[in-house]
Amino acid sequence: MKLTMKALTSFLLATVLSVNVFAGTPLGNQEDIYFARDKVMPALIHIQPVITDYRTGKMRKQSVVGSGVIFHEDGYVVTNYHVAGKAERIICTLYDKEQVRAETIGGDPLTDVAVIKLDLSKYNGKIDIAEFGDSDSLGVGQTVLAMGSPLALARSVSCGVVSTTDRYFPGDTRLPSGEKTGIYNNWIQTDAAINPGNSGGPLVDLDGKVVGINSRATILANNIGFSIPINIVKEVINSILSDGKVIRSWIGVQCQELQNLEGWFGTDVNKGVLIASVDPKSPAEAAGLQAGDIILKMDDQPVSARFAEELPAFYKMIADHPVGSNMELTVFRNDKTIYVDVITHELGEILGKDLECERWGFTVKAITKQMTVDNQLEDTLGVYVSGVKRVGPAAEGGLRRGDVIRGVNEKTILAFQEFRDTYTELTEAGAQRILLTVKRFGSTKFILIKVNSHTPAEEEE
Amino acid sequence: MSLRSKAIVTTGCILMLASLAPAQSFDFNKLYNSASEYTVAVNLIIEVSFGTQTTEGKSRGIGTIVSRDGLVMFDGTAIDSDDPFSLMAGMQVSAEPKSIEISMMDGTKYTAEFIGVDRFTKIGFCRINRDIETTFKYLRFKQRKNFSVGEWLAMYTLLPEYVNPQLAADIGLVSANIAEPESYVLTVGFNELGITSVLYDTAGTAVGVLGKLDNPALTGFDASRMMESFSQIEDYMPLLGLIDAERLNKLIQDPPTLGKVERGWLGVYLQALTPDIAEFWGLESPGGIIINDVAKDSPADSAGVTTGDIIVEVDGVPVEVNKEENIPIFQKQISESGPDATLDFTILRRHETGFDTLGLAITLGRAPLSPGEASEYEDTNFEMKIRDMVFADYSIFNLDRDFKGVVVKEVERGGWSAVGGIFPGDIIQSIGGQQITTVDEAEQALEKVAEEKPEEVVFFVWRDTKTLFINIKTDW
Repeated sequence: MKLTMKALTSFLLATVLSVNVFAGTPLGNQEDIYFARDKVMPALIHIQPVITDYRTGKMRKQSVVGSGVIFHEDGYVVTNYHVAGKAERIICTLYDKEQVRAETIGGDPLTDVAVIKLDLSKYNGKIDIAEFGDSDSLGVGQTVLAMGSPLALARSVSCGVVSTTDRYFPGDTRLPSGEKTGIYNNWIQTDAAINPGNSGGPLVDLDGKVVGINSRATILANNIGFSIPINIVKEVINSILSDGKVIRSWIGVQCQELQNLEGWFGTDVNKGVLIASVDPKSPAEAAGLQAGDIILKMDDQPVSARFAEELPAFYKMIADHPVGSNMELTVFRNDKTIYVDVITHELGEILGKDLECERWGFTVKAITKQMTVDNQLEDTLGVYVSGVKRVGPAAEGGLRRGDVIRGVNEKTILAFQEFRDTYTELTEAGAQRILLTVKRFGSTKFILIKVNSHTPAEEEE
Repeated sequence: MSLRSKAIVTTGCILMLASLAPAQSFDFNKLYNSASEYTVAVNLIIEVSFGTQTTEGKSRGIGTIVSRDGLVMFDGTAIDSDDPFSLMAGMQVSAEPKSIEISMMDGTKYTAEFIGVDRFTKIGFCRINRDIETTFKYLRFKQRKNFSVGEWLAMYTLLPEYVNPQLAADIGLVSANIAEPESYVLTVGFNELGITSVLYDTAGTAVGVLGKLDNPALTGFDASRMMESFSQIEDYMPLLGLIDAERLNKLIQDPPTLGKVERGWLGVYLQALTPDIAEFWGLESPGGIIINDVAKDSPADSAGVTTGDIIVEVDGVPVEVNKEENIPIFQKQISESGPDATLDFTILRRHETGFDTLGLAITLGRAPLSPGEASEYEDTNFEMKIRDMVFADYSIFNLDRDFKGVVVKEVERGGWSAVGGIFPGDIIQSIGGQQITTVDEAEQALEKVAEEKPEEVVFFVWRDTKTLFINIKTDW
């Protein structure tokens, strides 16, 4: 996107104006801002994790910076999944500038929330904890503070208002690591400045309570930042602390807002949720649900999504339903009300485990059920090629990202562990020729990997 | 960069040489006199759709009359509706020019009917609209077997319209006899403006026309190969050379006709048997075709060909495809054999300890239509163009064969469909509750809508692996 001079001028003008407004009518009583600051700042954490990335066909380590806040005296810190959810090593800087190590306790990509625990064994200071507020009671225009490490500048506070409380993003929103996110919540939008590095930091109200976890900003825009509502975060934290992860139900429906379609389907306004798409091989398909069905009730509780902003709450209702239980749906189809029972399945992991096949020049992922839905795969058998090094034996042999390896040297490979063992075995045996049988667009390709004697690994020996 | 400057240097040398010896070898007066009788300017009006709007384009190129009744061959690249790049980019060139005007060298102008474009040589054909008694002077090509490197060739190129006379001589020479991926006489000294111009040898014989040898990896029918071609765009460097008389005469006798598909079809997805894979399997074959998949109910399927089979001979001749780039040779062989041809395939079938050799006689089928050949319909109310689904759609989007709908080819910016949220590439499955499987059905449904004039019409579409309902507000 190009910014013209004219647009730039109006941006500048807008900035100047807003400063004037700020000067004239402060966003809050100065004392209130100090109060909120003193309640939360001592619990603020600067987080430096080392994360791994497999997308280039090679495992790459990367040092990133994020923010977090302590919520428990044992040293538990909440942050974003994209900051520390899959971190290898984490170094945290406390508010008193002392550094301690931390480990990941658990993370949830679908809400972008992670919990890490500080190692306080060598720390002699006092631990302060922040209190969580109630994000449901937030009002548009309410003054909020964003705290964290924008552009790695630790212990920064910015101030603004809640711009909206129910921002919805249509389509697929994904984390840098490729996981879907934001399915179960709308976002708090704020004009308190949020920049890269603020991720995982708290959004604080003037009562000094954490009302959101800052996680997204808009590039090329001023002061459009987004926070995950703390009420969602609280539930995720509880699940992570008790089960190590969030256990959700899945039935496999994609829903659509009913606005402007009520007349067509002959339904009342503000009644029901429209099914737009049914995932193949899903519980919903097995139960006979169809695109065009309107769900009126779930377990006798009326549901409705006239507007897109109401969809995340409905998806959350599905997710919160006990796994493996019967979900009784009252469905409106072709002017008739019918009853459909769906047995929920566990949603499971979105993406599978990673493995780097260094000698062969590519990386693979274990295939999860959700990956089969997202990538139109027939089943979860085999391993998914997540990256191919641009120059290497696999690229030479014609392997591509998105291929599914179903066989190695004509031996059928159905599980991730089996593939890992085969890789280790063949590498240790010094195999020079490996024939992969892969599925690509539903057809079967044969890929020959020639490991030559000049691979870096061998040079080291 | 270095390649380019090298090419310029080479051309420079040729031009210098040209002014010296070989010009004497051609009788340009005689050549000009005959060439100006059957050489014409072909003016095409073409429609190009970019998904949201159609623009009309003009194209002017050289043409040659090749029959007494006014059959004209010309460069058909501009109306290549099968170009995989444009297909993936959502751009669609109409498979038929909107109009053709033929301008003779003496200034006489005719209109012409479009016939079709050959998908391999990209040579287009049209026929001049004439009175029954009008006949034309025309060119006959003569087949010559061997060309020696260094041998001179001449051609006439078409000059801009404001110049008179409009033909100018050009010379070049045979630079190499290429054996792979197919037998090809390469030239140097000509440029791309001369594509489809007639080439004469020093005896004045019309031995063929100038064509280009594209990187075969950039063509092909298989969806996955189409995807790959994006990453190989840097490999695009056409080599100019001779499309020989034998091939041209075949095309002239039976010009490729739009919509009338006469390409043979086996119904398999292919991979080359590379020396590496052959060695791994302990095969001594010089090449072959590994079957990756067999289309359901295709000739190959009916004959019992299965995934993993290796085709090593066709009609007793070894298949020498040993790298992916050479697969189009095999595809071309099948395609050009035509539907209903029966070919004898020697196939290796793997089992636990080795290979069985099978002989299968397979009668080819008719190749499925390409997206550019599919029937289409333009609705002026909803301001969109739709087309029938073709085989390639099922491969590209990995859809089940029982999936039905019509593909949105274009939506006019600001039109009802565009504002309502329909995108090019969407597959419409129902309109106003009416199931849609073909453009004919869609046309009927939309005509019915036009009679009833409802305020809103609900479309049910497939987009990116999911379905959704789209409410389009009308304004009759």
